[in-house]
Amino acid sequence: MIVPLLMLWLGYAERTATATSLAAIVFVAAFAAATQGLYGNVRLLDAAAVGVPAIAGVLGGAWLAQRLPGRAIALLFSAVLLGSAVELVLR
Amino acid sequence: MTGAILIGVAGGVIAGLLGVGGGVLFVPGLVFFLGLDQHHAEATSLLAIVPVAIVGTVRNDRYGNVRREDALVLGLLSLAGAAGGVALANALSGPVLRDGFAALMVLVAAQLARGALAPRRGGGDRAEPSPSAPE
Repeated sequence: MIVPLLMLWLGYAERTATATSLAAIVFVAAFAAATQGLYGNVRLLDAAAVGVPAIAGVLGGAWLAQRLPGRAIALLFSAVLLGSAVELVLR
Repeated sequence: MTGAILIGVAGGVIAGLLGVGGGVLFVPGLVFFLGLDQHHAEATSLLAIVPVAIVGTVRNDRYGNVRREDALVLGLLSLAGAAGGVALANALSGPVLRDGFAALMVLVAAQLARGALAPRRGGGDRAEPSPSAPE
C-alpha cells in the first residue's frame, strides 16, 4: 500500500518506492513481531527455520527474475495463491 | 524443520521473483505444512520476514534506491498502526482471522494477474531498462 502512495504523492520512481517501502517494513515487521511475541504467538524456531533460508530464496528469485518470463510466472503464482486461499478457508 | 526450510526458500524465491511479500506464502505454508494455527502462523511469519527485508534493503541501499529518512519516517508512523493491527488480530477468532487473510491473498492474486495482463510496462517484466534514479 505504501508503494502507490509514494509514487502518487511524492513522485517516487517505482524502484525507489519499492525499496523505501521495504526498508520501512523492516521496522514495522520487527515491531509487530515483538508485539505478537508478547502475546506468545511467535514460534521462534519456526521463524528462524523459515526466515533464514528465505534469504537464499530471495537472492535466487531476484536472479531468476532476470531470466524467466515474468508475466507467465505472475499469472501462475496468482493461480496458486487463489487455490491456497480457497484451501485455507475450506480445510 | 525440513518443511519450514522449504517454506522459507519457496517464499523467498517468490518474493525475489515477483516482488510480493514472502508472508503471503509463509502463512499458508506454516498452516498447511507445520500445522500452526492462524494466530501463530501470522505472528511467526512476521518475524520470518524481518531477515529477508533487511537483506533486501541492504542490497537496494547499495544501488541508492532507498530514501533513508523517508523510510524511517514511514516505519515509525506505521508502528501505531502495527500495534493496533496486532491487538485486533488477537481479538479476532481464528476462523475470522483466517478468512481475512484468505481475502488478502485473493487481493494479491488479483493484483498480480492485473499487472501480468496489463499492456506492456509493469507486471514484473524487467526486460526494459529503467532509468537509474540518482539521489
